[in-house]
Amino acid sequence: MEAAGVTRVLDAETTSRTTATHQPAPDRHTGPDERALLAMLRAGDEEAFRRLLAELGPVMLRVAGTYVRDKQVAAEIVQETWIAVLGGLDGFQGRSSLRNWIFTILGNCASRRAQSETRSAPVSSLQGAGDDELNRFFEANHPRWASCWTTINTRWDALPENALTTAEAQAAITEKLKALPPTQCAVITLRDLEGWSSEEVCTMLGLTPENQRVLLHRARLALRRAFEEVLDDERIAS
Amino acid sequence: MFSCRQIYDLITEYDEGGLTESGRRQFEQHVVICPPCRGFVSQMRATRERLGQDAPTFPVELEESIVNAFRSWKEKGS
Repeated sequence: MEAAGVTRVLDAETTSRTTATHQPAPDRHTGPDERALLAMLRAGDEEAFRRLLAELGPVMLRVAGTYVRDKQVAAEIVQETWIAVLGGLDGFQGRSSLRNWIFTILGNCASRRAQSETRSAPVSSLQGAGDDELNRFFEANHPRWASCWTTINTRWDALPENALTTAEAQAAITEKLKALPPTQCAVITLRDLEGWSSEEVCTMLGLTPENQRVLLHRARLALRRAFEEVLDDERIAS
Repeated sequence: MFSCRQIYDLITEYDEGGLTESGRRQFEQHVVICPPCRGFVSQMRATRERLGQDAPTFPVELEESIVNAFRSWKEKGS
């Protein structure tokens, strides 16, 4: 009896942990209001359209920006997507949610543009900013410190509030995201900047959960490293 | 028990709830007693939180040009 009780508690814990890390998806799925929204759009309700655009536009631009390097091209992709959405709106069957459908179109537009851009993309942008941090650990066969850190790693929960919101930190985010391999950039953008769940990201990018996690891991390590460099520079400067 | 290197490799799996119950326990047992790993874990948390505060922007011109597309679509339809 007791053993079963313990298992149940642990299960509940695991479940709540999983849901806690998968950020609550804002109303991106078929909501009860979706049919109403669709009707308003079809009827040419500009207010409804503006609301939808305000909700999805910034995310779409960010997603497009993970496919192509050029900001202008990313904006064109978003524009093209909306034109395609409008063109298909009357025939939209509602087999997927409206928002999913829009993002599928976005993905198609973006990959098409990315393919034509690839030839002109600098090679460096395609190479990984991998986690080459192995020198942070003692060798696995070290007699005393096997696989231990060689660095101290100060805690960042005690940092002054604004330490990571400086212009330098902001620039580091932009630059590091751009330097990541495109899929890593897409995964971390959607997961950590936009708060999508791993399921949503897997669907959007056609990844297995395992792959998604590995890409997210590498990208987070790279961003952590970028912030570390910013903080180190500040420490040296002060 | 896990090594520091394993904490480094497994932190995202831990955060995603992908570790087994025993893996999760081993992870936590290590981090509790290991200051450099506690630092690393806090750094990864801070990184995620900071990224979550990064507000996306949408150029006004782009918005207007898309709304214009909506208007001409509407005119064509009616």
